[in-house]
Amino acid sequence: MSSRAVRFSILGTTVIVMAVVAPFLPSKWMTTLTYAQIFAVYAMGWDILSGMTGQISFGHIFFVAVAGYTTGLLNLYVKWPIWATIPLGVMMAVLAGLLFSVPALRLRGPYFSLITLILPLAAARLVIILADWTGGELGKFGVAALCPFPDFKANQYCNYYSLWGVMTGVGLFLVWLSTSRVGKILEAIRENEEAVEAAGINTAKYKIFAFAVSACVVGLGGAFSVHANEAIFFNSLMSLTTSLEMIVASVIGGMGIIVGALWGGFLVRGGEQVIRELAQLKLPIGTEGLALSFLERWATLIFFTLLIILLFFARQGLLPLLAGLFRRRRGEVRGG
Amino acid sequence: MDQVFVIVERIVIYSVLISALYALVALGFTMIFGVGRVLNLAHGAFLMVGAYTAWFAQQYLHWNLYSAFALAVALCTLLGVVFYQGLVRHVQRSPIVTLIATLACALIIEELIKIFFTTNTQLLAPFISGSIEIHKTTVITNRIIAFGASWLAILLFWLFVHRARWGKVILATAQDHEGAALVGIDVRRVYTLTWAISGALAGIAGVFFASWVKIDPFMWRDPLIISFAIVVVGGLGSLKGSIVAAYLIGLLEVLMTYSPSIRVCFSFRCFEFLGSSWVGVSSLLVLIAILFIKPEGLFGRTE
Repeated sequence: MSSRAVRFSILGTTVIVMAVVAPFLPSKWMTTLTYAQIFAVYAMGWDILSGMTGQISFGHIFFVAVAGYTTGLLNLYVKWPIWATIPLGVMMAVLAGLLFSVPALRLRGPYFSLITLILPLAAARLVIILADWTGGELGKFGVAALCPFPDFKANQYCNYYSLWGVMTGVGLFLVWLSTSRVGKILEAIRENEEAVEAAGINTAKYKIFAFAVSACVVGLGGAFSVHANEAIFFNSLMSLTTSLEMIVASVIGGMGIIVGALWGGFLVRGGEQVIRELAQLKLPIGTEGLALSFLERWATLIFFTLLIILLFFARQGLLPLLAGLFRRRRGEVRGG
Repeated sequence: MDQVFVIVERIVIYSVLISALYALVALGFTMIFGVGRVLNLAHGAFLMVGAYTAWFAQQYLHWNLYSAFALAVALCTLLGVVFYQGLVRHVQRSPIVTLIATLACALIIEELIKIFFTTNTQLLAPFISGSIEIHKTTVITNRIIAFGASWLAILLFWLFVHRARWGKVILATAQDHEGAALVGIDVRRVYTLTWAISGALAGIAGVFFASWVKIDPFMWRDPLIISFAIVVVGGLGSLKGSIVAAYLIGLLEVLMTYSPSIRVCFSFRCFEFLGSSWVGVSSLLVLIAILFIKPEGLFGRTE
């Protein structure tokens, strides 16, 4: 999993499959995968910071919110076009990330995670206080759309492929970064920060850089999501659950390898859709059949339970696990 | 002048009352960290379990509040033990995994409650209804009971730790768990005991928190934030620091409730600067500021 070629080929295969399958998807699944792509961007953004340097952030939804509210509100009130507000939103997220990195350099391990948990909670309260502008918990509608087509189908395709473009660009950049010299240093910081410092490398500089990149990527996802939704949704921009789901995605796929977070992102969002579809079914048990509609409400629960099971039994994640199996099988063939 | 005095008196009384509850909320959290170096992000969820248990027993089993209260405390004690034996014990070595696992558990509990009891806000009937007058301030009787019970629990806890044999064992383990193991203390049993006590304290705090504020599936967040704020201000693992910090945070929150709000408007859109809508925010902002400026807490970190 460590080689650049392996990661790039996994990324390449995934994005090509995503591009090719789109026209064959039912409408419901296309919408799901559109948002899964944004979520994969969040998860990869989380991974470049937390997965690689080992500083676990619970509050990456904060950057989503900063970028999302900035672009959405500027677009609504100042009427700037989205090609101007999205970069501004991302810039604000980067700024927030740089600010965020100040305590990160002072706090280690759990203390850092604590403050990251508090930031989005404080942000949510401020959004409610400023409800006259932000719409509070109800959100705001009427934000400019990402795709201006009048036709629903065309819009759906346009949304899907724009976000596919964002995901692909982010994926290529992050995989390249994670396997570059910078990525190796970030990994080394995770394993032993003192040793890296002893080697004469300024770890603070690299951590700040990782923060900025991470905030930028997650912010990009957040800004695009607002325009894809054509609305500012408080519940999606401020969701602590989504924040935790980024960790779930990364842990499922495998932390610190970017493509793991990408896969994990699709598994989480795709899995949720599968559960929703299952919830429509009825099992042929009893005279009236057993409705599975209760499953829908259990989706989040199932994923968090899965997370805990994974933390117990497969902490390295799915992709490295598969890679390990594959390698072992090949080794056996050669040996036999 | 008289009016100013009345307001000052009210602020003092209210903050003294609420701070005792806050200290109780943070107590279990602090102890788990002090003894086992574990940050239990499910602490707020423990409180919520206590609150819902008491509410359920009262509402559906038609128990009186005293037996409902006892059931809540018992269940939370059990939950603490199960939580430690089933989960935390296995992941304790990695603080990060512990944080993720405990936070995931908090969200699992939230989801379970949403599924079984919906997201509706519930009310817990008070121990004693009505209110009494202290000088010129009206105080809800139940809050005075919460205050008394909180202090009683804190004092009993303090006596237990400093006087009882098992309390001293806990203290010894907190100071040096390897040393404790060397002199023949079963460290794992000590940890189990601390989780049981922490669960019980959370159960007590949960019932009072519920009758003071409200019950809903998101109620675990506020106690968790309060616990953080208190232990960060007071220094993680320090009992005295926690109580002082609880009083500071309580005072700050009550002051926010009574501070005059400044209405700031731009082009017909307004918001309130300070005032009651800032109650939750102020402690968060103080917490962030302290973490930025003095990460070891105002009173240092008592080991």
